[in-house]
Amino acid sequence: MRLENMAYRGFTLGLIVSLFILTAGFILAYVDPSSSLTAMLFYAGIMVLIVTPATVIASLLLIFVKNGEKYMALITFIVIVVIIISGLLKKG
Amino acid sequence: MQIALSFALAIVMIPVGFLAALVGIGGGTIIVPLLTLFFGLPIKEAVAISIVTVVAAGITGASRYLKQKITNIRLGLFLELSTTLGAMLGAVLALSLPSFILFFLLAVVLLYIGLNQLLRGKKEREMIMHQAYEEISEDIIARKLNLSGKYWDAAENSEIKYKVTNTLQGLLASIIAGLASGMLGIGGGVLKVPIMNDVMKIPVKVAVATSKFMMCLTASAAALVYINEGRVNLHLASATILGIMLGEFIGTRVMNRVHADKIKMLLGLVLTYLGYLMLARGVYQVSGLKLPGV
Repeated sequence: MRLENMAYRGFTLGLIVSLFILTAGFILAYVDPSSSLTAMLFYAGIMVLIVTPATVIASLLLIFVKNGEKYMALITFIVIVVIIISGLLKKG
Repeated sequence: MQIALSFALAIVMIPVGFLAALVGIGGGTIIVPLLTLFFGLPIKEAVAISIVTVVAAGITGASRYLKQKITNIRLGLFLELSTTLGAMLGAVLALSLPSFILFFLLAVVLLYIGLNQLLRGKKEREMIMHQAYEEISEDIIARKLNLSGKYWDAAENSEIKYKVTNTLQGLLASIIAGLASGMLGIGGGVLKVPIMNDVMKIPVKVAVATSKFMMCLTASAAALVYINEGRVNLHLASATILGIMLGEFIGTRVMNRVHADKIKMLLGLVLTYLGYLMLARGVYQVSGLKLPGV
């Protein structure tokens, strides 16, 4: 599969799922403002968004490895590692 | 009350998303002042909401520009290498340097680049029309990593081929963009687009689309930390997300139909505004004088 197609599908899927969950959350918040399910839906919707780039970049790494593009695979791998480390640093 | 506020936030985020899609920024530097000045949210809450919203803006922009085949994924990953390293370094350095110096430095850089974009809009269009981007000689790294590419320019109604050059300079400049973002908490998009366009000689529309792709990768790591620490107001963040998604969706549909000189001029205006904002923050830190927008 082409690189762009895979990334497009990954981002779009994450976007649609998140949009669906967040909209459901707002409908529920309007119908029943005291429902605890609302916060869960908002959390789930946002989490889907946040993990989408990580999923896409991991898939890109797999494609580079599969295509034998060692330099791009190495670059992608380092980017993933640096993003993880910077996330951990921010937490610290 | 919460529903009314959410609705208002979603509406306000639509033009922010629209602008962010057109010039390849995340919108954080616009969102935070909006939330604090007009909605009265505490700064920490505004920053947390802004970071999550930037992820949504990045993913929506990335998805739409990938569909239009404008984004250069390889280039984005290549530059992300130095941007993330720079951001990490910047976060560490920020603890040891007085931030007002950084604000003044960045203000000068942003104002210079901003005015430069405003003046060079016409040249960009001429380069697109004369297919000059194709004639640039590709350097060895760009060739090895297959970084050059092409896209369909809807405004010019033609396919634009481009070759990437000055990859090392671009990589080094991206470290500076990352440093600035790590030190001052601004998104790198605002510097990434001019770096790709002016240093690496990539058409401005490709730079905008690629910046969107890069931004969602970096912002998601920060957003995850904020979410895990429970610092994000989920209700309000969900509203800003929906608003910015809609704005981005419209903006990404418009961007490729606008001539490149207009994009560059708009980018110049945004950069000039951000330059002023950095200057105002620096002035506030030195003298306590609160200029508009701080």
